[in-house]
Amino acid sequence: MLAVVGTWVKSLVVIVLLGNLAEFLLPKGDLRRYTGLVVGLILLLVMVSPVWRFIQGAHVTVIQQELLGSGTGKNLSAVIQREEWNQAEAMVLSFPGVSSCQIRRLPKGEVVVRVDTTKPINTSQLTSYVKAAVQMTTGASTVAEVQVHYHGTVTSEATGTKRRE
Amino acid sequence: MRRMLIGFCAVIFVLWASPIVFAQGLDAMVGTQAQSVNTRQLDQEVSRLVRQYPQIQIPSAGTIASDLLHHKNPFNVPKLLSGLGSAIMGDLEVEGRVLGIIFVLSVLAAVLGRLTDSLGQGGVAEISRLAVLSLLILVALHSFGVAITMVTSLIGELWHLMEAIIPLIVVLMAGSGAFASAGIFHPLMLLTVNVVAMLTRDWVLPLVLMATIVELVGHWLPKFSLHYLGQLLRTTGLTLLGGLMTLFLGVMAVEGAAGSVADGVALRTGKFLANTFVPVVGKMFSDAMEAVLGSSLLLKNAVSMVGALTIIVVVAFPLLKLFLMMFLYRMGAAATEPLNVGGVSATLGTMANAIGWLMAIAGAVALMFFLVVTVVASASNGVIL
Repeated sequence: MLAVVGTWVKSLVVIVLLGNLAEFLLPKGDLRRYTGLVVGLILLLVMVSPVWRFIQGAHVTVIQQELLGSGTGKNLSAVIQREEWNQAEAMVLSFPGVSSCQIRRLPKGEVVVRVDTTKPINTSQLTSYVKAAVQMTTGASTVAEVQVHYHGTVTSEATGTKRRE
Repeated sequence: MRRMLIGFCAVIFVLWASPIVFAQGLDAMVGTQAQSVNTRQLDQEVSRLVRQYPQIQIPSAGTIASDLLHHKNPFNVPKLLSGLGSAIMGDLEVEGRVLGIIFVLSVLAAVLGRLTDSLGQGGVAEISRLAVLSLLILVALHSFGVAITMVTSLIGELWHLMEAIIPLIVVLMAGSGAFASAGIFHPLMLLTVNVVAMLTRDWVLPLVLMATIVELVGHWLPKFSLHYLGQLLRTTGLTLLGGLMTLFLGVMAVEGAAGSVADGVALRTGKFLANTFVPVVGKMFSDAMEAVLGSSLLLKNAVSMVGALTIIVVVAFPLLKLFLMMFLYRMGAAATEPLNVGGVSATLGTMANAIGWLMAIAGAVALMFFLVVTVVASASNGVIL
């Protein structure tokens, strides 16, 4: 910040030096007067330029944030959905014996939940728990299938909620 | 008979033992605390700072505490004054030489100006004035660079000193029962010291330097002068410093009052509880507590006295030198005015002003740090009554 001020002052001083040099070198007459005017105008421009640049920069960043920000417009709902899924996964992980949980989206808008366990677990109880977690966080029961993995054995339970509706 | 003998023996024993036990007790207590609180870092820092002035010695915190206990003056003031006097002489010699160069240059400029006037060519006079003035500005800027380096290193030194002394004072403050003050002051003091030192070093000083350079260029080349830009820069820097100082004083005053009241209440409650509810030894317990707190208070005041003395010694010499420089530049401005060489006296006047501002900045920072050490230490002194 202060470095910006420093370069600003430095360029002003250099312009003053060059202007004085021009005054010394030029012959007396009309040319000298006009040179004085031009140097004065350049000084004014350089003096005002940081303010101008600042306003321009502020303008540009505001527009960019409106258009391209990661959490706005269409992207916002994706962010929210990802966040809801994360919460649902965290809730499933709190079930005893569950070691990992992943939520995947199917093309139709439904989701598949894959659960890894460290011990054999009552699958229907776990499935209803997972369904309840997803319902609670996303507000809609969109679970199509819950796959429970335990040491290579897969127990898959398709839920009937969606179909019944 | 036997009973009387025993009573007599007891009275003799008490008369013999009590004053010695009391005196040794307080001394020993202070000594133990001075050893248990690690003042080595502070002493190292102080001796490193004062090493530049070999004639001055600042006693350690333990020495000051025992001196205060025996009603002795721990610091030798005449020595400091004589040291300052010899420093004045040395500075006068160095700066007087610079002033002599400036005088010679301006007399040369005046003679050259008269000569070219008699030759009848205006342009040559202007060129000669420019040459002499640029030499003069080089000399002046060199001494200004020395001054600004001095102030920067002074602020850095004071900063280090404060960072060595604040934890110590806070520990002793808490040890003397001022828990609330210690809790309030610790983050506050560190924050204030860091903010003040950093803003002054990185913002105020460069702004004043830039303002001075712009104004000097304005005197050197009067066409396209940037005089008001210089004023703008300087005003910005000094307003920053003034705002810092106002904020600092306000916060210190309010927090000091709040902390010491809370401490007083907490401590009296503790004493009352011990006196009332601990059956037999309660009174003894609260008295012992008071003695420990008192000796810790003494040590805390000794530490803050070390800090204040060091600040005074470290600041006095550079400030004196800056003052001399300012005075000599003012004298030069007054003396070169009758020679009537354009810009010389204005340049010298600008230099004097700039050095005056440097002096004000250094003095303000030192005053703030001084207040941190003294006021904060005495704010928690009212706790034990």
